Amino acid sequence: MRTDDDADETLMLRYRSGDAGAFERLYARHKGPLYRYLLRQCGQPAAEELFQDVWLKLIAARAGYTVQAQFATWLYRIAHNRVVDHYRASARGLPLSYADDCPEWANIPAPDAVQPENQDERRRQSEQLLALLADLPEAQREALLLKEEAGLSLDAIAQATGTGRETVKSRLRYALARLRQGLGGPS
Amino acid sequence: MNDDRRDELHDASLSELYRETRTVDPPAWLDRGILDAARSAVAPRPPSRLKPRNSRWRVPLALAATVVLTAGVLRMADEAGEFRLYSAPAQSKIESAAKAESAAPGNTRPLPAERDRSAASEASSRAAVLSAEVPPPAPAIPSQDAIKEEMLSGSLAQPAVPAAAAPAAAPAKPAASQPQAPVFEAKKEDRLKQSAPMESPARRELRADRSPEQWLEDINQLRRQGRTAEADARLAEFRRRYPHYPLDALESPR
Repeated sequence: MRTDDDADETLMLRYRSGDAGAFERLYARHKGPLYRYLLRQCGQPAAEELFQDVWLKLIAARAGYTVQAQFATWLYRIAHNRVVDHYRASARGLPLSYADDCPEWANIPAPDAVQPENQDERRRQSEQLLALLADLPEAQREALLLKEEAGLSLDAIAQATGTGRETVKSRLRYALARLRQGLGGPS
Repeated sequence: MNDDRRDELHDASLSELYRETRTVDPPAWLDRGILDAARSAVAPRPPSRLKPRNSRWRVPLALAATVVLTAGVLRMADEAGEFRLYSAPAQSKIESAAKAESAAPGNTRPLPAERDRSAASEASSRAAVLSAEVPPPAPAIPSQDAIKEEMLSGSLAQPAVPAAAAPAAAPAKPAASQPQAPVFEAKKEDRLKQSAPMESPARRELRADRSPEQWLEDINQLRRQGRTAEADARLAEFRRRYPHYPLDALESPR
């Protein structure tokens, strides 16, 4: 259990004051979830570049850091903006799923149901989950990753992604239904 | 899946399954790079020993150098007469003329104080005229008389250049046997000579330098013409200027 001295915000304030050790603790705490968030969203080559960019932005912005929200929300806000920039810079552009009222959500065909007899092994289920996750629209996948990897609440996800709470709920609802359906369970 | 562990926005079974996939971490080289960047961003910079010292003394040293240079330039300019009024060279001219007269071979007794006063007053009045007519000094062409006077004073040690004629009669160049005068002295002479053409013709006539022989011949001419009063005045002036010159060439009055 984290104490006040060990809270992310306290560590960031200490780093702002010049405590490099505080940053190391912050980094160790958040590097895995952030890296996986970027990896699931953008793939291997881009994830490493974006991961580095996000941390360097955070380091550069340390002097102006104030506790206005959870540290994780701030961190993933930076990451989200960087991911959106990455999408916009690509030939494909910003995915349609990032629209708040994306009409395609309901029309996206569900993946074929996974045969239960092939999912006996837990490992194979995990691999199937990752495959299903990769097939999710980007915005829905992002909402799920922010919830599962970063542990953000609905409000924090809305704040980090710059969307409304209801939009986040819709995205999460859709993502869970797609995964359940893909894993063979009831949607 | 267990329905008790799931709701519309949360599925514990899915979360548990997802957690089993969280085995991927960033590569070690990324960790090192980011941690190094974070450390260097807050690392205290090594203090430079030279820079504070230089910056501490830079301004005072620059000010001191400026003051020294300015004082030196002002002093040199002052010695060169750049900032003096035109009356100052005239005064020095008076002094040099007096020295030349007292150093003349034929002049064994000290100069009369009265003559010094009159010469000084005349020179100072001329200096006042010059300073009033300042500035533009026109290029001077020495008159024939001035050239002759210079030659006489240089080679024959002509006695006593009249104080009134001192500015024009002063040698432009020091004699070869004399020590080389400073450059700024020559500049003063030049300036004084350049000012001479600004004088009125009447004053120039009065100031015309004539040899004693010519002077005596003029007096003789006046006496022959019957202008005795004028001839006596000229003679008195001649005696005042050349008190020891023999009057053998002077004709007796008719």
